[in-house]
Amino acid sequence: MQKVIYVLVCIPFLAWLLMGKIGTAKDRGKECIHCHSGIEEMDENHRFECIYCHFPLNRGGDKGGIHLNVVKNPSDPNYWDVACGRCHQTEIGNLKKSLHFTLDGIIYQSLSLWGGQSEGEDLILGGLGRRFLEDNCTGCHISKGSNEKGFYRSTGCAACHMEYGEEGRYEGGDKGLRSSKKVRARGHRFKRPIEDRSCLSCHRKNHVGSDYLGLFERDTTASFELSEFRGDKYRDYHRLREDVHHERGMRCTDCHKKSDVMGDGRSYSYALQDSKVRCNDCHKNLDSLPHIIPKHKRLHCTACHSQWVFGDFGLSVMAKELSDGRAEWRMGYRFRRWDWIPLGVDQQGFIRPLRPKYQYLISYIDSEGRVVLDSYVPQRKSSGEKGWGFLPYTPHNVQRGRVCYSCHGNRMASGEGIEEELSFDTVLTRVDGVLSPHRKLNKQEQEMLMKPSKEFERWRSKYLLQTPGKGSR
Amino acid sequence: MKGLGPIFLILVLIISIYLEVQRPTYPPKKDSCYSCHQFAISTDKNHPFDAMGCSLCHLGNPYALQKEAAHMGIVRNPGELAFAKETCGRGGCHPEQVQRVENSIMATNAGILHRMRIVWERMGFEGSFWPRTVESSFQRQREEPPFLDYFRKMCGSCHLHKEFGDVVGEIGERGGGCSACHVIREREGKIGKGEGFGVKAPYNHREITTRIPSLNCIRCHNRSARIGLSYRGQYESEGYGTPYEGDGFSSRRLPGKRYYLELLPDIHHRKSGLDCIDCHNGQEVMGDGKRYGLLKEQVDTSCLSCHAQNHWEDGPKEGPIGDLGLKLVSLNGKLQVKEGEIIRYSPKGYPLYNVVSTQKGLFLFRKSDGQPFEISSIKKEPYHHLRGHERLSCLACHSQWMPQCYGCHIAQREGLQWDWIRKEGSMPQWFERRDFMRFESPPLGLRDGKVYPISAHYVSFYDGVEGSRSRHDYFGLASFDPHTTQKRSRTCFECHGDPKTYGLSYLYPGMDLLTGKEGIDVKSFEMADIQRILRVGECIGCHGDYADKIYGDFSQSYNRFLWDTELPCRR
Repeated sequence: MQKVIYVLVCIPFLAWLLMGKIGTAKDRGKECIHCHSGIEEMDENHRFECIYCHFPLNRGGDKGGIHLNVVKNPSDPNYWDVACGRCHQTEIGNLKKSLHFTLDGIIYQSLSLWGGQSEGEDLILGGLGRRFLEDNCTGCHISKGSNEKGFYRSTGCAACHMEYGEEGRYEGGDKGLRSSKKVRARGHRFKRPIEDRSCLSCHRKNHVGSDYLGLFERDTTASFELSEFRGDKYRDYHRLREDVHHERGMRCTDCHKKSDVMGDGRSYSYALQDSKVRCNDCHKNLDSLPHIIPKHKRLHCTACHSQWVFGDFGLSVMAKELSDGRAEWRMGYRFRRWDWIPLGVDQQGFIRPLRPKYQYLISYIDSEGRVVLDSYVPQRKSSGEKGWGFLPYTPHNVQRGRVCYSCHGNRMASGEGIEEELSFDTVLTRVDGVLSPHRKLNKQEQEMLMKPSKEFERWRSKYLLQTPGKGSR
Repeated sequence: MKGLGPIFLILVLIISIYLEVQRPTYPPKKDSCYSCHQFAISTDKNHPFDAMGCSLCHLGNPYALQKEAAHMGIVRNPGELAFAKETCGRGGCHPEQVQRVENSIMATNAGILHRMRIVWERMGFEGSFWPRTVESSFQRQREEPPFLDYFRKMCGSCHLHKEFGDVVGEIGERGGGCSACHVIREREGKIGKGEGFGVKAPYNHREITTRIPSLNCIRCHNRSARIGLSYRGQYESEGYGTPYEGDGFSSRRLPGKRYYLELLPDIHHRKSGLDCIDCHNGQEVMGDGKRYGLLKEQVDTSCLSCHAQNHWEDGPKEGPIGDLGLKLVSLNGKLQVKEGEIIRYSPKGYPLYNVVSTQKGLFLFRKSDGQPFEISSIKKEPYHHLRGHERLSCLACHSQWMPQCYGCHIAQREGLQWDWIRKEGSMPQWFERRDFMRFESPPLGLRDGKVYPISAHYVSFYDGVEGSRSRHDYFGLASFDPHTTQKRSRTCFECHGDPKTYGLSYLYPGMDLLTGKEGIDVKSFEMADIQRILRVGECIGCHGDYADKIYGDFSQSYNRFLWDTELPCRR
């Protein structure tokens, strides 16, 4: 009986103690500091009580455990409408329509090559393309973080606006967070300006972003495995010539402003359409000789000034169905090159470098081990063409212009492939099936490139006479 | 008991008849080997063992009837260089050839060892014991450079002293002395199915031939310069094994877990299906008895031997087929070249008995089947005799692509690895890594003063195992015939307009990747040379014809271009 009384007395007492320790919802913000003392204060614009952001779902209520309702990352797409969105409604609204959120560029372009036309349409084997994207490509989305060493990032706004350490650990003054072994931002503060490292946590491998730093992904097979000799973060990359803007210390965000990265409220279906930054925003009145050649008017700057392109030729994809409904993917290229620069015409009529993206061969093994698709070449639904595509893009490795003959008289530049007689493998080098609304060079344009005219020679010798000692133009 | 006598006699009779039946009936019943090995047959006309018996080649005791006694001292592969002097090279057979082969570069590996020694010294190591030939690398030394260990384990499996079949797999297929080349293994084995009680399937002995299939060459010549592969249009790929086949990787495989891509084969392969031996003559391959230090010194093949016209000043030698030529024709057995016919001779004067000059023109007879192919001769056109192009080799323009392996990392780790030369496992284990590989129009450089395709290799040698590695770098240049010859030549622009042809790359922070570098006997162009070459490219657009008079004295023409503003190209 004594025990019962003891317990009856103790429970309210303990409850009271806990209440006191935790406080009510009202002053909970201040109470957080009891444990999280030493945490960094946010900048002036964000100097709120903790709960203003971290307790967005149930602001007044007090149900359940305290930490259960705390949102660690209020900018996660699940919460950003009620957290960040309370102030930044427009930004989040725009972001949701931007390519960074919709990934429409990646999705439409890939699915159209895999035989789909619009969302929900039957693709190969009832949606293999969609699974391919989900398992392999769309991991780089701001609703998904990254746990990869050196490339840590959280979700939502914090993916870009916070800073992450090489080890992905919290490195600030809060002892509680310091002992945490989970991936966290380096400190409790917004990073400004946004570091290239944040962009590169997605924009790496053989995609724009790496090239800005001069990185080209190494071949992934065993005989190229150099990790024993190189321990750095970019050990899986070749180091090529970096962008001149990067050499001079410019960041991604120096050119790519808010409306470019976070959308302008309109929907786009591919990146070139969405680009709001142009070279001639800064580089005006270009009047050196190569720029005033009338036929060069149609060139995009990168047609001459990019030093190399991502050339991942022939992508073989194999899906092995596992018994648990997932698929095991295996991917391999035929060959990867950086020194061939085929040219094509973008949607605005500008001549730009092209990259293969991609020349698919699809294999599918069902869960019983039957080979359903054996290096199958997908077909586009719209045109019936092969599902092999080249895409114009903006290589981010700008340096001084390349030599005349890297385009004029160059078979690869004209898009005709490396050889007159192309073999089973080298046929991949011929520009075939540029995704609309872009196109490959037409016959006339190709001829103009391949047969240097008198006009070309006159311009060239004029230029060479202007710049003595540059015999290599 | 009386009745047993006749029964006994009958039994004896039956047994003796049985034994008589069992006795070999092959003429000439020379060796006792036949008492067991009755069913061997041979399609080889030059070594009929009906006439020669077995022991002439395979040694052993031809008089013994017991297996153990008969097999005393027997050799499985008489072609092995270890006993070739007593077998193939015995008096009356091929003593001279065996002696020549033993001194040849394929047996000594002198070329590889010579170059490796220079690389070793240029990497900053002191010259210690270094063998000149494979045989001398058998000897144990107290202090051996680790680079030699690397040779014995990674390179040491490609020489003629290596025993055939010592291991299972790709490397076991290599070596075997004379047999490495002269034996066709593919047709060996049991013929038909007729095996049962008292009846054995006939066993076809390996064919010995002078019509050496290219496959025998490619067993070794598929690594490093990869000429055996390139000739057939195979490029060792980056190893992705694509496109996938079924649920596995591509079947376009090479030994050693490698894959290949299909590129344009050499025109000699594509158009005429020529084998290696159609160009590479016996004396070149087997050596002429001299010990050469470098491969290029032993080589006796020249494009001009076939493609030049004999009335040219520097034309090839031509003459009636001699005794040696006729002997080689008869050994070949497929060619129809008769006494008195005019054939070509190699630069060192060896008869090219399959290149015959007839009334109708010059013909090459394919050694494998005697099929004739008309040889087109080099055209006396301006493009072949352009002033300033004197230093060009044929390969500089007509080689289509060259496999290039950039960045070679040679390192060791702890563990046992087989030493091919000492035939034992020892520490450490070597492994190689690459930076990247390319098939591309080869860069050009100078070898012995002539312009050749070159291959640059940046070698990083890591001494010591992980944790205590020290790195030694070597930048080397090599030049070899990539064996990707095509009729089409490079265009003028490809050399005179593209700085990449000289290794100048706009990709790397250092612009002068190849300029002014020196290999062992290969040099890259100096910057001044390159500028001189590229200067020509400035004029080609308007003056595109080889016969254009500005090329008569180009430096004079160029000077005029600089001062004469009245020229049409200056207006």
